[in-house]
Amino acid sequence: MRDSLFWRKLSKLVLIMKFTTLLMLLFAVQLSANVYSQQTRLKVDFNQATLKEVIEKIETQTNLTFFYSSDVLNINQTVTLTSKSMSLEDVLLLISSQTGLSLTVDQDHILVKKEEAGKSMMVQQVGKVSGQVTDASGQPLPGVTIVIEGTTKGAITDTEGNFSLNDVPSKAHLLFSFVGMESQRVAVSGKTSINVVLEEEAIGIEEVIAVGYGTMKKSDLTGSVASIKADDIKVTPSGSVEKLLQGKIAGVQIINPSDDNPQGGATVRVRGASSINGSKAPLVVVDGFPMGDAGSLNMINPNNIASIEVLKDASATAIYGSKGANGVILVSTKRGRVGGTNVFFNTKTSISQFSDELDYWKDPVKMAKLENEAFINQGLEPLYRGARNTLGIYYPSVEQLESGAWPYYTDWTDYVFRTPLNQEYNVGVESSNDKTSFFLNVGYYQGEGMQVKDDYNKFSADVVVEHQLLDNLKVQTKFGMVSGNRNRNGGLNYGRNPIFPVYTGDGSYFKSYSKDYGNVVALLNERTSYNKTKEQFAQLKFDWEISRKFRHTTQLNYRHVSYMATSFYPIIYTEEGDQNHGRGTLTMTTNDAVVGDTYLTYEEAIGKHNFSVMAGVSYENDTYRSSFLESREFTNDILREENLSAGSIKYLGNGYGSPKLLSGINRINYSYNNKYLFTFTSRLDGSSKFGENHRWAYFPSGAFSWRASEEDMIKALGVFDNLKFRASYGISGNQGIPSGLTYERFGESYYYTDGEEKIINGIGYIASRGRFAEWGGIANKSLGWEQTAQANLGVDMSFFNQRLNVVMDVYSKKTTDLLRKKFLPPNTGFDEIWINDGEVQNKGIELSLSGDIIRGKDFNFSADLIFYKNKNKVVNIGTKEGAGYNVDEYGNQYTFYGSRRVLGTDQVVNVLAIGKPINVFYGYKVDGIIQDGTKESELLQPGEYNYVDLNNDGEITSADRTIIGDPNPDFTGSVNLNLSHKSGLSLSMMFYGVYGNDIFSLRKLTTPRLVEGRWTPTNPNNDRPSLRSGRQYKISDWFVEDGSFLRLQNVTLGYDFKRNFLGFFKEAKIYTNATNLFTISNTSEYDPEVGENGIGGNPYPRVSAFTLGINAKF
Amino acid sequence: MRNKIVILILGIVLFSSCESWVEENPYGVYSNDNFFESADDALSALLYAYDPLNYIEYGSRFIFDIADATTDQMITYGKGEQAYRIEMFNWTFTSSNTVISGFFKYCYLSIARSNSVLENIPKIESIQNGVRDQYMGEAYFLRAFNYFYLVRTYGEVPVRTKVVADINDVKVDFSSIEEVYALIIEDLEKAADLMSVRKQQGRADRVAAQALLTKVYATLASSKMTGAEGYDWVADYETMYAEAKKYGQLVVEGQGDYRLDPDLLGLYEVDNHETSPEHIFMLSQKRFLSGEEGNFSQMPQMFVISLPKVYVSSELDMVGNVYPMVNNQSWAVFRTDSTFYKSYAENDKRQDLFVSKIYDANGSLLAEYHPSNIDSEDQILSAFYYPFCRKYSDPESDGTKTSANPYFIRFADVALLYAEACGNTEEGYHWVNQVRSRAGLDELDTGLSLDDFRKAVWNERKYELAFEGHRLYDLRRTNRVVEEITNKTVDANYANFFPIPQRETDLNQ
Repeated sequence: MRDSLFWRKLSKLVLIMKFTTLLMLLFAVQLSANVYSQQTRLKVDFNQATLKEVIEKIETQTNLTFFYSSDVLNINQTVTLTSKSMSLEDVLLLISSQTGLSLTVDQDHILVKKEEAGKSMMVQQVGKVSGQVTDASGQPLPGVTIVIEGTTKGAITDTEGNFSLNDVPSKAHLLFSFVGMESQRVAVSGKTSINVVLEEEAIGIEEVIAVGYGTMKKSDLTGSVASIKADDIKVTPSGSVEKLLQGKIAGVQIINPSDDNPQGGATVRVRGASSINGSKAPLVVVDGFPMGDAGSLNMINPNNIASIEVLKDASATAIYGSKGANGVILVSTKRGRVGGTNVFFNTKTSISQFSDELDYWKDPVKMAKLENEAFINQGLEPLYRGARNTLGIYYPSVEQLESGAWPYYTDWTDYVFRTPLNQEYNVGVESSNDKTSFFLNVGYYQGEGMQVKDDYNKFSADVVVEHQLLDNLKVQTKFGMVSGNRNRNGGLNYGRNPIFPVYTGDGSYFKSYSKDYGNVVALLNERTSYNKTKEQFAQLKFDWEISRKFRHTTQLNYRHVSYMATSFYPIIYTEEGDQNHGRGTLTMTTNDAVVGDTYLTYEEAIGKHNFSVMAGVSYENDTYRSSFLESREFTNDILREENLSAGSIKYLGNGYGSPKLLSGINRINYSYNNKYLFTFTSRLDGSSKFGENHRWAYFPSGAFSWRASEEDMIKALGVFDNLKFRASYGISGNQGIPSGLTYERFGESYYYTDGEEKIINGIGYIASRGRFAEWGGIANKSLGWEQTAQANLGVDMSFFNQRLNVVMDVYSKKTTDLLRKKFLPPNTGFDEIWINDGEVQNKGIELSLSGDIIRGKDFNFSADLIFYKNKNKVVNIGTKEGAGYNVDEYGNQYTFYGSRRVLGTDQVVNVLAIGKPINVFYGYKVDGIIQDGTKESELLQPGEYNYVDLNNDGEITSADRTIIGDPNPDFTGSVNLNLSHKSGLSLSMMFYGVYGNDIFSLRKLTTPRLVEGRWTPTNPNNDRPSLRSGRQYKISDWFVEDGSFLRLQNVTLGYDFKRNFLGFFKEAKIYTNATNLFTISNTSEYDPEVGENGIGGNPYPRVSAFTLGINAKF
Repeated sequence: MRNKIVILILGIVLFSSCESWVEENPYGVYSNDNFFESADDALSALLYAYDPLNYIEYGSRFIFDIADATTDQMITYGKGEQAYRIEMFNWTFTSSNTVISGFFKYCYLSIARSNSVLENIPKIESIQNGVRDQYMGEAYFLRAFNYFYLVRTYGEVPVRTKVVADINDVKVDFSSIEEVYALIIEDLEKAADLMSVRKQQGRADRVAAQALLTKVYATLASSKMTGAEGYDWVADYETMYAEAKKYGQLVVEGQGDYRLDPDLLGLYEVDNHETSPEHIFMLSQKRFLSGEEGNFSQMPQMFVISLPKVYVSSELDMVGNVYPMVNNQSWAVFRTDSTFYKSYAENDKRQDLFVSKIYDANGSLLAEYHPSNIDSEDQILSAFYYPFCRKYSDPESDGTKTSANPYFIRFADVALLYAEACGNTEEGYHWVNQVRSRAGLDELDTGLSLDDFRKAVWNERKYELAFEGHRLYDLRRTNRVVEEITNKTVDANYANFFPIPQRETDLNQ
């Protein structure tokens, strides 16, 4: 036994050494590599091709850039070259001989000019040339490369954008180039001062975007990938990234029910929920490093994000194989892109308030009268009668309250809420020259919740360095740390009875009776709960151009996360503390994640055929260790969580896991004549989470795209600037379940015998605790992946000189082999085993329109519209016996889903029903209120709910329940409007709306404002039941409301100070932003945006934040 | 060339030893691969097989729902309770009732664990033979103990003698009652052979196996004799009584560690659980143990009336010093039927094992039980509408945690079965009168017919073993369920066997 463990460890060590050796070998080869034009060999196959085509082809094969001036060069002249392997030098010579042009290779450039008669013409005059380079807005551009055409001589602009060159021939041309800008060629013509304005490179369909293990021109995309630039999202304050994506991308639904968590976090779904027990959240990949599920990404500093891409269809996600089924969000962070050195400073400050008035009992007399009415209707003595109730709580009489004789009125909101201040600061430096660039950012975020002591702050530091180590070898490293601190003080009940004082006469906290644990001030001051997260990460990436066709990339990532959470429930004022005489906990967890990727890219062009092939391997391992301490029975509250050994009863636990994933990845792109594009992507995954019989799986996908706008026929129409049709099909997987389900597992308990307590172990362990435990521990060696097959059809269109862009996609996703628990017959001694069974379907349409409505000299106005509709359906949840589902008299085959119990009962609202969307509501139907009844029983009195006897058996029983609502929206949509004026003023707005979903509104029952509309004999109505204190509420459609809403989510007004106005700054922007200005909805909830399960009851309104922000660069 | 080398190396990395790269070995987890290597492991797994008996689904609660709440000795009084429990009180349960399915499941949890012990202990080489025999014997005992409960509760049940290793092993046929008893007897005979006599709270020994054999044979005998449903196959009841007598004699006369405890109240006190010679097999939950309910018990709270802290007299005659039943609020779940309470003979001390007077902390009388209290306005009186059972109490309980345990097999139980098996002989009279005299009663009339004598013994069991999880089983084996349970309407379909849990029927395929 021990021996075999030793051998396993040894063989693992050998493997690690293998991998290390490989990397070292690769590195060594890279060092020895030297690529010169003589050695670089090209594959050329041009028959009467235009010079333009030839240049493009050579550029793609070599990454060299041709520099030429179109006035001297007729790019439509034709050349013919054919060879399978020819040195670059020979290619250039051949072109030269056919065209009479001179082509010379500079470091990164090929300079093209007319072969002049006197090639060796003497330069008559030389002189000094200086000047300044600015961008279109007049800002100086540092770091611009200036080269004297035909030579290697040149200069780089300084921080003010100035340059100076000596010995410039008067008839020479200067070439100005800069990343992200269109290059320019300027004739010297004897001038000594030359000022140049560089224009930004036209973006749009030529944009390059991340696709996972590589990048692609947007025009070459065949899959469904949405891209969003950081500038579009970063003005809104948020502790977390995913909140900012709401309403920005078609096909992505962000559900953000509570706006008050200072730590951020939201539910993210890409193209619907396609799992039941596994993860439904998309995978998030930051700079090539898979970070895990979306929803808890508060460890990324939003300020550092450059762009976000969302991979939606199978063609795009299959490259992430077993983690791709829920979509993939790729986050690219900033690197030092700008020449010269910039120092930047960005800050945001927000204050928040509730966007709606709080509704609680402000008039204790009215509260007492209504409460008394409820007691009397139940046949009890009124509660407020100047006596103690059965628990021993003294309630004054209504008269005492009315006359003012009762001395206490406490407005608990004064103690619970505040006007929170959120602040964010980012300070950084970015710098680059022709070899090295770096980006450094230090950020601080201070978030406050609406509740006192509900805080989050984080500090982050990031460094990115890129260095061109050799001509063909680029090294990039990124490292950083984040430290987050959360002080959690949630769930304080501001609706506590206002007749209770805060303190008693002796200054201790008031308790209405011995088991009253609701004094919010006591909880605020005495209860402790906080956590701290620290994260460090490092990334090392090599880009090695082995040749003009081969490129090799290796990336190594490491991340360490440590998490600590501690809490203390004091003896007197909390229920847990009172039951256990004080309870303290401490949880510590560390994660160490290692991800290594290495892949080769090969590109080839033969005539009109273009190929690129990427293949590689990836390895992931995330090891976590956790420990848990708990103590109960403390002598007093003095030391709290500080010293858990002071408690006399102690519990401890620890955990360990180390899931692994080894993968082969590959992607083949082929295009013909730039019109017909094919992509084949696949990934082979082996995951330790699955049984040895199902450990390896293959996820292929294919896509085809037709750029119809390249066809002469379409061009002739003159309508489309771009018209592209896309079709894809493929399979991706989901492995979002805990590891350790595929091996047998013993349980643990205690047994007292022979005078001592023994720890005992044996087969079967508690898989889910609770009132009645469920027993697991049996292995399923055949457990495998969930598989999602997805078909996608899309079209990209742009019209009117790219002023109107339309992207539309329709998709159909089918997820089979759902990971879920199968229930076992009790005779086995086990309750459950994880298996693959069941099917869920999602179908939808996504549409995004973006239009530059006004594109003027002074004034621009653009609008984006996003429409997204997803239809979810549970097709199959296994056999009736295996899944244990119910069949009712109305044909619903359903099983209760989720654990949300409501209305103080054991009733679950949501079900999975075959043929229905996930999470539909299940319960009784109510047909108004009983107006005059037989009074035979409590439930038939006037003023009671008139429950519908669906099966007509004369009784209201559980058989009268059916499906009563669906929390999934028919569609969601958003409109983004942007106005800008040449003065630097800009205004943007975002509206976000959800239509056609149902909410199970719990506030409909309890909101004081609504309670007044109750049924009484003098106010009979069909809307609300009478007040009755002992009523047991059933889950019914009375609580179901239309959850549709439209919200003005965001308004930003900005002003951009021009450089001329503020000489010292390179950039200065000031803006104000307001969130959640208004919401139109018809629900009884404070806010219609509730969780994915549609259950309301959030105790306070959405928060509205007002932000003032400054971005400065110098 | 260089590219080829790179591709070659990549290929090697990708395809060599891939499996070991994606294997996650169990860590910090016991399994068959790393357990069962020593005597300590064997004991640990054996105790783990006892453990399910501690849970509320078994000994700490549901056993009373099954065998007592359903009978003439308890009644709901129409007061709210868990729906599944009211169904047991009123015989309105179905195959999906929580008690019906929970008890079934926990019997099989213990069986699966016993099977695991029986499969693995023989493989351990480093264990002394005597120790191995003892552990094997206890596992056989436990398996039989569980099947005996199952067959008496549900009738025909699946018999598993091996651990389920794979999802394909799930389906199993139901065995006949005869087959279940064959296994029970076989296991118990092995257990009695393998084990020695050693009294130890929380574990079984040879006497426990012999006691259980007595119960098994007495059940077979009386069932056959009275024509109880499901026992036609038993050859003849006299042979069965003879077997019961043989094993009963070994228990009552063949050993020196167990006997009737002369202190009637004392045998129920938690401090005496370990030491009282009365207890042949009981659990050992303790208030000071770690873990959750099941390691400690909350049994007193289930029986005591619903008040924060109830003081009772420390003497059976309800006078003298007082002590609290338990140091926290009780829940009044298992409610005594006052008709049954009143049916005790006038001078039967065992009636005083039901509390009719409660006191305050100073010993002053606080309230006296009366059925009409249920309608009282007074908070204390309104809780005291039935005399509650004091067989489960823990004055030193730690909050809700107590050391009270179920009394699975005690000496008086076996003594009465032995008397029943002996019939109206001197031996039979002797043992029934031993039990009666401890209760302060006169000796049984001499000259009873064999039939009347056995009925008298059954009657004695009713009062002696009340609220200890025996009543329904005694009524079933004597074919008197419908006849005796008159305070509620018995569902005749289930009078002799409860329904097989729906979950088992649905999933066993």
